[in-house]
Amino acid sequence: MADFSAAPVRRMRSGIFRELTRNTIAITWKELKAYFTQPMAYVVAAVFIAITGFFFVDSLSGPLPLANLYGYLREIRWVLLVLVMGAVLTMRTIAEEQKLGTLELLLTSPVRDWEIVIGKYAATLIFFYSMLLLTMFYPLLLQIFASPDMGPIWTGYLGIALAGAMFLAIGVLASSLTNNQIVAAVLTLGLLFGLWFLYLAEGFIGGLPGSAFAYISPRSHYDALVRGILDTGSVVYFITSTIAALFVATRSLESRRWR
Amino acid sequence: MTTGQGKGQEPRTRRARQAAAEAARQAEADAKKQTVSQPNVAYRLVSAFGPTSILLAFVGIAALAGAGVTYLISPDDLQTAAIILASIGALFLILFVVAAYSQIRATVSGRSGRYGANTFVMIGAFLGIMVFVNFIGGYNSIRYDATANKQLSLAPQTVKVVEELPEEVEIVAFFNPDDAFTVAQADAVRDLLTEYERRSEKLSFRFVDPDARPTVARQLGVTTVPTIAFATSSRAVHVPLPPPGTTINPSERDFTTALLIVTGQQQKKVYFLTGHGERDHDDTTKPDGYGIAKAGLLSDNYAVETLSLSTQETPVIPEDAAVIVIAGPKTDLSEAESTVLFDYLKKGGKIMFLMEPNPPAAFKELLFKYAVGFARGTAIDPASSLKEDHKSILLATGQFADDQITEQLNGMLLAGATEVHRTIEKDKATLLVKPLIQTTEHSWQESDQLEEAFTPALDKAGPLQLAVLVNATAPNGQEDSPIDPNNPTRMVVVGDADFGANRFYAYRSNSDMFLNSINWLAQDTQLISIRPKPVVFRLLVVNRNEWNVIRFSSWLLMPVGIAIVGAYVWWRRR
Repeated sequence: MADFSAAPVRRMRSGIFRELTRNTIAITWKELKAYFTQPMAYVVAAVFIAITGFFFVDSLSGPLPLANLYGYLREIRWVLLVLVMGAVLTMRTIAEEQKLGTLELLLTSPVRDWEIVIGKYAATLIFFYSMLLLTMFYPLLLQIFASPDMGPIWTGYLGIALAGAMFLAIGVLASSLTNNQIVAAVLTLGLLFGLWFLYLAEGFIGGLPGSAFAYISPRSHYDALVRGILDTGSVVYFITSTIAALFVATRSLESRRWR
Repeated sequence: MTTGQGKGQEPRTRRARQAAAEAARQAEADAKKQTVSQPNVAYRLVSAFGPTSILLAFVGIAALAGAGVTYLISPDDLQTAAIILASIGALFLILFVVAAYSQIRATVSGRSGRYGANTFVMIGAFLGIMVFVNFIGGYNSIRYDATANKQLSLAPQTVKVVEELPEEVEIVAFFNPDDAFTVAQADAVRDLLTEYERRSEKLSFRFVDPDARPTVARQLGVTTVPTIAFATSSRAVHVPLPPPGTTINPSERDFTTALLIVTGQQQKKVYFLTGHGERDHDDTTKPDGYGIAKAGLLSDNYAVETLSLSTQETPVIPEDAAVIVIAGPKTDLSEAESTVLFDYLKKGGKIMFLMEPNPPAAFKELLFKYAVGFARGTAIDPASSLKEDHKSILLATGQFADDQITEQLNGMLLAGATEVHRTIEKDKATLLVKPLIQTTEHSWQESDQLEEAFTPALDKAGPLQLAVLVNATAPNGQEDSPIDPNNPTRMVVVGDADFGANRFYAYRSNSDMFLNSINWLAQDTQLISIRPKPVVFRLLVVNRNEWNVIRFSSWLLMPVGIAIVGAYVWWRRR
């Protein structure tokens, strides 16, 4: 009697999934090893945590400090720090490969372009989220010494996680456009700054274009999450922006084959 | 490549080491050649199309971009300039195409051109899909208020008002993003307006910088910022925001009130009776004046007029009088005035009586017909009053009736009040007299003006009613001929006129009591104040040691820990 069990189908499906992700996971793992085995990554992380610690304490230094992270997460200096970190972490992802001449090797190997982009992006994202995880020490302190409203804190961290993912994706895109790390970093900062402050255009551009500019800017989406509003529209915004940036980065990488 | 040695062994001879170093340098040079051999984009463009064509294209694109920016920033004033710029840009681009036609054709039809066009189309299509997904996601989004006391959600009353809007309303928020406080305030306003907009398709909002777009501000009559303008096709209502240094949170009550006012079908008139020593409703400077209360009525979209029955030969109350306010009269009504006011009441009139202790007899007689009486003297409440003046009674939340006029009040001050009571034991089908405000059980009505000691034989023990409402279809004793219950007689009788005066109007909920009473009398119950949500301030209260723990652990603990781990990793790599 023939075996009509679903096991071969399941094995085939898991095989396809493994096939699709094997290279990505390999690249991600390689990049992560490079991050966590180099002292420079720890220097970056230590400086980031030190600066965030300073911001946190400073936000509680008033006469009647509130036990929340709203002022801390909403301040422009925190946002600027995340923007700069996004540029710093991503500037070498693809630009360095091109500079060293190893990009051609990578492109001619049996690895798809999107696997390269996703693999490098995923490693950067994991490193960033590791640093973000360490900053959860601050709401833990608030929980120990006060009774904070945890709802906005959780949504605030979700906002940072989503915004950070978007910033890193734009950084990878910028890195794919040039072979110079400094240019990649500056380009990333320019794009992120431009996007962030695009909301100002709504004030002097009326109608649909003004509203469109305000929507495109990540600021209003991030701010709503920090205030405690979990809006699925904002989540969709950040996810689609991240995917779009990675898609364009993949196309940019692909264009090297025929340029 | 090494010589004279096995695989994986270091070169032993000096010649072998030199050969290995030379090979490494050659490999590095080859790699550099590969990276520098590609010319940059600008060089390639110029060599492909020629410098003249590139210049034409650059000027064309710059002109089109300038036209777009000009149009977006100042569509009204510089539209002609934008059109001219766009025309110039189009002309230069046409010249570019004509001048570089063959090169363009070769580029587009070449391998790079085909692949490039394909890439652009793919990117454009993908971005279009992302825009569509955002549009769908934004249109059908779900918002969840994660705060503990749902601070950011709308009250049910507001939701009802918004969902039942009779016409389209545009909300224009005027802000100058000059400082951190204003920016934070704008964000809070945006959150609140987003909640409003989601509830109704008839509602839309936008933000405008009045310095950049002064015509918009002029059209809506906005002269100060920040201001929120609620506008329909026929009128506009402005809501100013809290000044810097106060709260960034806008008032949901003010926004909903503005919506009700701007979509109101008819502006109702409130008449202030004069001629008997009443408070001056045009005076905003004297402590006893009622000018600020009048301003409150105007902001609730009531028109305010003066009713001077005493100067009329035959007193007549205007047909358009929605409510009459009698604020602290000192002298009596004439017989004709009493008659005309009683007739007005019998036909479904609405009057707010604000009476000081020992009111004039004619007013007492008029109110007695509707089962409302006054005790002699002044109310005293040592348990809930100003420290130095027990006749200035402070009222707290539990001292208000469960009625739409008073249920949301959170405190009042009545300076020199008198007891107001109903003269019937229980309500009738045609007459309801309901207490609204009550003093504590330690109070009493002091009959002797010079004394402040309770005398059982002379004084009335508390708790005392200081305000009542009357809802009637017939006066007391005339139940045979009731009027239409859809337009009943309504009165609010308060045993104090000072709470609504300029001096005390802004104290706690004094203004709400006054305006809520007018709203109820005029049957504008939707305007009755929406209780603002309690803002819970969760403070970080720590002693010095705890603060030091917070500070030093935040500054040093983790950075040092990470640095130690990094040092360990570095040492292992060595």
